[in-house]
Amino acid sequence: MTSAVAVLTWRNLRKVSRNPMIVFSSLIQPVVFLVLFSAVFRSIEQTPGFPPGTSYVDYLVPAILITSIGTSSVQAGVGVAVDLNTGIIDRFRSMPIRAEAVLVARSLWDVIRGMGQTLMLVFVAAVFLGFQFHSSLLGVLGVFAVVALFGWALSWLYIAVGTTTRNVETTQMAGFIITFPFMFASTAFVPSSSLPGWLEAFTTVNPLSQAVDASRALALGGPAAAEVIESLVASAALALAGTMLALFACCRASR
Amino acid sequence: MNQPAVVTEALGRSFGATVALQQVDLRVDGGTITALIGPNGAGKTTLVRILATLLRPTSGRASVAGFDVVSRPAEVRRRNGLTGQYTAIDEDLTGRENLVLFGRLLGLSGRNAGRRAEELLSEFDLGEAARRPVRGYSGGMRRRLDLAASLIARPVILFLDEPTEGLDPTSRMVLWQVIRGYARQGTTVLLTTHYMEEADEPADRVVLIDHGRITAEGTAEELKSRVGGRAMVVTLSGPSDVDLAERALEAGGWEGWTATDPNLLYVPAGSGADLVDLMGRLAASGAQVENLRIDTPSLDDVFLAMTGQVSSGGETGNSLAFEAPAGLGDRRDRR
Repeated sequence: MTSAVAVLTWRNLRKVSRNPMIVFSSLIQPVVFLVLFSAVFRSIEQTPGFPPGTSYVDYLVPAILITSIGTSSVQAGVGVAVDLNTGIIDRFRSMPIRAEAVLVARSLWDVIRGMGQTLMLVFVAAVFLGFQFHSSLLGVLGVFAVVALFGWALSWLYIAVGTTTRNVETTQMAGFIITFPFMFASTAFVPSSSLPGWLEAFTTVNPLSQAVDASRALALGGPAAAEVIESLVASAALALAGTMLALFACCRASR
Repeated sequence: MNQPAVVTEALGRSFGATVALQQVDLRVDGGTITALIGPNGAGKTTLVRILATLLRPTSGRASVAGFDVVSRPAEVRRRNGLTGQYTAIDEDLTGRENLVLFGRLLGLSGRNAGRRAEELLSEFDLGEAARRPVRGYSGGMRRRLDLAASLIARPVILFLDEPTEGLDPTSRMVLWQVIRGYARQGTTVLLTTHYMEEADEPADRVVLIDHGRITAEGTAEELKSRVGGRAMVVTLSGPSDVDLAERALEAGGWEGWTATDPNLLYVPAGSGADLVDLMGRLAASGAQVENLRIDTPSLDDVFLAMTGQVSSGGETGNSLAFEAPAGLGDRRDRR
């Protein structure tokens, strides 16, 4: 199982190295958000509820990292749907490997790809917008861990969609429908205190918002334990639900 | 060698209310080439998918290389190779990378997977394209690579579901050369095909499937002799001559003949005496004969005769989902 996962992850790496444009094009949206929002929402720095002494860019970048891995993790589901629509899945299944290995490899690959994307975004933000971390190295690693776990959890959700629908367009559409409300009904761009009451209540159960809070707390330094635990629990729950759904759909489809 | 590679007992598969396969008892001896032929939707692919452990049977049992496909799928998978109807390779990877990928998944080390990939690439005449992405391959190259991928682990049994569908004659020949080579070395081959000549020539045994059941099996020669050996094909001048000829044959009490469009009379013949008898009757009837030739039956004829029988047996009205051989047109049963 382990070696099959490693080989299949290599396969995904080779595929992307054939189309490097995919990686860059998936950077476009987060970079645009980063540049636009840091200019458009700068005045939020002055609103009550915004952490005092913090620049909006430093506040925004952790959220962009989360929303960007959130949008790109839909590729995991798309990749699985593509495989299911070609004969290659039959070849995998006629081989002495576990069908689950294909899905696990896909989710792992998307974490690797997502983290590469995350590093590039941090680099762009630091060089061009003056972003910086205000925490120890441990805090920085914590940010990456929260982002990675959230992306991995969400990729399972999309893999579940991909294995259930077996349709590329539907999976892409699901990604769009899931991502946008969760992205904007969150604390990603504005503090929760500036949101209407019902929306503020929603952010407390929105896993994307929780991941944003955790990575932001870690990036800005200061106490972060509560946010991190909350986010880890939410991501783990999401991953568990997605995995169960995906494995159920995959095994049902195999018979 | 003579240990059975495939054994099924009363094997069946339904999809909801649709019965795709029923009561299939099949035995394929080790080291032989067996062809499954039948019209579209007859159940050939369902049977292959069950044997390759991609689909569970809903009734009966099946074993491959001595292992039950339901209870020991991992053992079956270790021993089989499958080339399905749709090419099962990664378009973004090169030909070589595809073979290495599957080799590694089959447990070969990186080095051995590379060596085996090179062997197969040259065997299938893909050496030049080995380092190009499959996306740019022609249909024939894809099919060859697909088959190569099924042969990485030197399988004990090879399942080929319409392996030469859509290939040009040259690609088909390369494919058959390699398949025969593996069969000579002891690989059992079970293939499905639409091309009668493919079943005829390389296959040791031919199994005819229709409506999910095995309707006939044997060597190609046995099956041909079962449809009555040679046949006389008479071309008449016009529809009125066909009517005259038909009346003459009916009066003579002949059975098993068919009138086909346009103006053809198809008369299976058991002996030479029939030929003389036929000519006498036609001459006496006054029907204008343009041409008469003796046909040696092909598997096409077997196919038509057998599937036709099932149809006239009253199970369903539609069994000739298969193209009739060129020149014979639409054959109607006049039994």
